[in-house]
Amino acid sequence: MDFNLSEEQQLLVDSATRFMADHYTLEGRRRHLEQGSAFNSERWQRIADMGWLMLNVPEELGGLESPFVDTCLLMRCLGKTLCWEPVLTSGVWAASILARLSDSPAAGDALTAIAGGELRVAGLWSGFDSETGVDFPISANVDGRGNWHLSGQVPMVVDGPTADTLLVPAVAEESGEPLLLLVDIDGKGVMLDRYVLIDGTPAADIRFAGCTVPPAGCIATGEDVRTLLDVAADRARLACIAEAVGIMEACLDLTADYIKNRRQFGQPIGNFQALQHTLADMFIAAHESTSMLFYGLSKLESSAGERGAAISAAMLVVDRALKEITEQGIQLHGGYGVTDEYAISHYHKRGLVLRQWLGSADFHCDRFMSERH
Amino acid sequence: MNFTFDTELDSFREQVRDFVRSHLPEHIGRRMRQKSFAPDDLHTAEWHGILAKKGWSVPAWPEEYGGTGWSALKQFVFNDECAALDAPVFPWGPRDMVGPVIYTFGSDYLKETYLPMIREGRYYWCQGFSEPGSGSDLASLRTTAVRDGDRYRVNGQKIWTSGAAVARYGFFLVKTDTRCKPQQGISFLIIDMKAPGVTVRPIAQIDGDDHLCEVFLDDVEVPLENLVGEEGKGWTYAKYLLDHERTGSSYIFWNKRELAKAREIAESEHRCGQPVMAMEPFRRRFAGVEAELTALEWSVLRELAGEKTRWNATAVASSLKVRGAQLQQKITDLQMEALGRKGLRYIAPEEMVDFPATALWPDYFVGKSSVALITRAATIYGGTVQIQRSLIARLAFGV
Ligand SMILES: Cc1cc2nc3c(=O)[nH]c(=O)nc-3n(C[C@H](O)[C@H](O)[C@H](O)COP(=O)(O)OP(=O)(O)OC[C@H]3O[C@@H](n4cnc5c(N)ncnc54)[C@H](O)[C@@H]3O)c2cc1C
Repeated sequence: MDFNLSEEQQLLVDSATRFMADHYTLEGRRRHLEQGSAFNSERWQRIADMGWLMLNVPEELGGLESPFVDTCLLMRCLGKTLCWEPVLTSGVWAASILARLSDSPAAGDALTAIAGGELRVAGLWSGFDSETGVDFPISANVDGRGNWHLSGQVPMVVDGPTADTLLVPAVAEESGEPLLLLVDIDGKGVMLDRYVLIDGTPAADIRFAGCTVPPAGCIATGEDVRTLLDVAADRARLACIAEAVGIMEACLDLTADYIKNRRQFGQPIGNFQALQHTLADMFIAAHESTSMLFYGLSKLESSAGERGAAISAAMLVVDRALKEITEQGIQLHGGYGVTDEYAISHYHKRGLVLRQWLGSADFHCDRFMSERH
Repeated sequence: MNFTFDTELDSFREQVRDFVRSHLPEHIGRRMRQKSFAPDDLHTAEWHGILAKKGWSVPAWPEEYGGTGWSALKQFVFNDECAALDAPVFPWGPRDMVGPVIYTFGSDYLKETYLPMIREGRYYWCQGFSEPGSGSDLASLRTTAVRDGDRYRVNGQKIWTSGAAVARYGFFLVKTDTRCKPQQGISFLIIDMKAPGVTVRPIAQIDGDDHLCEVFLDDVEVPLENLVGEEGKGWTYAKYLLDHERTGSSYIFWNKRELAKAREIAESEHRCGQPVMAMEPFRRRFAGVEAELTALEWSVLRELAGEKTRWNATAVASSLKVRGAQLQQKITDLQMEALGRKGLRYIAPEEMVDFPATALWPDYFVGKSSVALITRAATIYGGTVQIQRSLIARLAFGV
């Protein structure tokens, strides 16, 4: 075993850390949120130029096809500075799916475009009453010429408003077979209700009515689609876990700094043992979350059951740790903790999103238990 | 011992219920159901005008100033019913803090000038105690008031002054003597928020609202009559005021109403084909919180019914505050858990009032995540839980 970074990984982390410090400051974030989380294509192109959108793209399509740990190291850096770009949704989640569809020319084209920064893809994974990651709420009806007609709606498509193309899992009306489609977001019959999440991430309720997809837009069919989507959802979860670890590390640093500098009763509040112990507990929680990130990564290529159990166990530990660390981080900041002007409140809100987005703690508890025992 | 409410209180409860049902304007109730905190000052004023006409706006005050003469338990029933029916809570600043300080320590001039307007809920008041460098260590505050003929000149800065931007008056702690021990040089002043030299800057909050403010006091002239009680006794009055309402900081009524809302959400929202309320892990968490809330309610009732215990009364009040604050956070957690991913959607404060409810986004969803976010402050304001724990250890056990 070796838990140290290779030279290349160290380079990736160093360059990501520098890039983030230059381009994703708290002031920049607050400006971005004030402007309603408007998408900026220059900024996105800069991200693409760093090569980060190629990590999950096969070499023959112009990608780097890196081991998934590299993606996680990157996500950890993004988490530390609360980078708000849709790297996870396009560069990790969508790319992980498309990369396994080598037979489909449309999937290949989309991947190349993702890697170069020309295309962003968001997924219509599931309705509110499901937590499994993917539950196929869209139904698709095929006509005589092989065109697919879509109907149904999916709420809260994360990064939907800034995407160009939608990845749509659907069920074929007649055969009941799972399908995977690529749908142009500006196409006819695609309706978006846009809003932002509490951390400023753009999202939309997306509805299809009279939306037609040409035969080439159907990039996969059959039961394999489920497997494909399950694997991709777990990769996305690991990326979230990595981002969460980055958030925790940042919260530890800034809270420790804060209590060393804030003075009350004629001394730094860090002198008070109650706060020292709280900080120590936060450290313990962050440390065990990092362990779960590595444990989860170690099971990513295992059987579906083992992989699911490991990643859900990791999600459970991370759920508690994010809660403890961001909430106590606020507490130790006193009144400043509940302002928008201090970073800790932003980490807390991102943490809340990460704790719900890909399944609640209860869901992961169930999945862990049923796979494991 | 006797563990039952007076039967007389049952009929009183009915009476309050009928009154609130028939008098609370629907738009105010709806706003309260959404936000639960810091409702529009206009709405609060409107409702308190209604209560004042009935003679119910300041129940705890002595009857000569408009109080009702109700027993503590009767007041409990009144507040319990009002909260359950989504009536705005009278801003505690004027009713529970400055009002009692004025009628206990203030001059006849102050009583005649301010008590009637507080009773009628005419204006919003803010509390200017905390400063950037003086939060938990409040006694170290540095804003000064220097006598100059028939007035004070006040200079300094306050922070976290809730509602200062909409407040007409504020009650402030200031230093009138900087040479003596910190607590001894503090005085209690009423300041007209429209006076020249008062500048208010709202603070952007975690939930997107900006109710909290910074207040800059730049050579503000305050008439000497606005000094409450004696110079240098402000700290004693502030302690009196914080002690005065021993059970208020348990937020018992708020907690009860919000738990009821958590239940409503959990019964309406579905996950995997069943109501969230029917899901075992959620049920258990809900039950745990409900049991704790019952404990809090009974602790409050013991206090109100005047139980004599061997414990220092302030330590007991602090224990209610700690538990009440923790429960607020647990209850908003339950609401968020019941909403699931729905709870992640952000609704800006200005969008809330007219938010068009749909099947996907029902009325009960509006405002919940904002409330959950700002409720992180429950363990911070009015003395943090860390400070309360230290108080308990010191006052109850001498350690
Ligand atoms: C929503 C909100 C509304 C408020 N409304 C008002 C208002 O209307 N008027 C007003 O005057 N004030 C108001 N306050 C201010 C509030 O009372 C202070 O925030 C509070 O007293 C804490 O002070 P601080 O923020 O400076 O934190 P600090 O005192 O700096 O505390 C930071 C951290 O250090 C800890 N700490 C400090 N000293 C000790 C110690 N000795 N031992 C252990 N731990 C310690 C605290 O517990 C906290 O975790 C409000 C605050 C909030 C958040």
